[in-house]
Amino acid sequence: VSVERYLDELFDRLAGTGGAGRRALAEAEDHLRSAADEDEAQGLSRVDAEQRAVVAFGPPHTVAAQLRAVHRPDAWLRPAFAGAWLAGGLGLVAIGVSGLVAEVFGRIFGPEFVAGDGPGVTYTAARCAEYLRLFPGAGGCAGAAAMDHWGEVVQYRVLAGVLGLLVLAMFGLTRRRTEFGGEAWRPPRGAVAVPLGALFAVAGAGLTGMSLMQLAYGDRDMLGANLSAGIVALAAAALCLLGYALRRRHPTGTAA
Amino acid sequence: MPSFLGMDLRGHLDLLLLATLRQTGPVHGYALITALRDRSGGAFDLPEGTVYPALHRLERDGSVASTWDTGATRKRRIYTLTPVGEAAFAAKRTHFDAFVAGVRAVLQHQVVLP
Repeated sequence: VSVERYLDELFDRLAGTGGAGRRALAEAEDHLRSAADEDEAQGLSRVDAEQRAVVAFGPPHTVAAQLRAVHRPDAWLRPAFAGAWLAGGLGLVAIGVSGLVAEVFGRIFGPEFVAGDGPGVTYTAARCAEYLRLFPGAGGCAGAAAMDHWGEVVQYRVLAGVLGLLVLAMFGLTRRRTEFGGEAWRPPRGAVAVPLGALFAVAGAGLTGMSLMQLAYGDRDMLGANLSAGIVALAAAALCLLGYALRRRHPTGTAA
Repeated sequence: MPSFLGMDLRGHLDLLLLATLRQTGPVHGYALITALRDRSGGAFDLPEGTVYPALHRLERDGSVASTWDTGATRKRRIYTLTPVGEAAFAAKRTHFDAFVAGVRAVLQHQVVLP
């Protein structure tokens, strides 16, 4: 079998493999012709040299089957999993940061700004007594309830942020120590930053817009909680999208 | 199937490729396979075509990186060991050394009969 015939058969067997197959074919051609050139230079006839190169390369069906196994079409599942892991961690950290902003809002503008109730909300006497027992200096049932709800907003969000940091630490550690850090698991450039940035932008615009409307209509129901989440979501969107744009300008080889 | 004196090389092909690439530096596929054959004294007579899927897999896993060399007469893919590949080589070598030590210990074990 000549090198030409061999390459024709390999081409047929690699049909549908796209760029990976085209690349493999180019490599096979370079390899076979280099081997044949070398043997011919050592005295073999061209026909014998090509025959020898082809035999040493192995049967085309074996080579093609192994290449297909490496470049199988479900390869996208791994980067998708890694991308979801990274995006989940970043999302949780953003929630945690919004908890810190809610804490600052509460200290500056008061707990009612962050977690005040809407007009008409009342509590049972037992519930009021419980709130006042927890916050005796609140000056009334509504104030004590707002203190309690403010604490919950901050606490739950910061816990989510801590969980996010753990998720990201696990992500980094696993990438460094295992094959999870390899090319097969790496999301394509922008595959995390762009959708996550868009999601943050939509959430941020919605929450901030809603908060501004609440301010305009004098509705204080969870105003600071919504505003803190909206501001952080907009900042996170800006970080994601600007970071992606900068990386496109100055690529350093990392993905996502 | 890659073999050495009839033994299955599948589990060790990655280690052999990483080790050779580490010694040669950036190199194209044909030169890498030739270097592997020469360094083994001809013992590792692999079906050469099966090395390319292994190289593609190593690249997919981040152990090697590759670029086209268009300066040569023919288009060639140049392979380079990455830091991930260095770490993978060290880990595989440790496992291989432990495996060889274990096999040797069993083979050299003397049974003392009463």
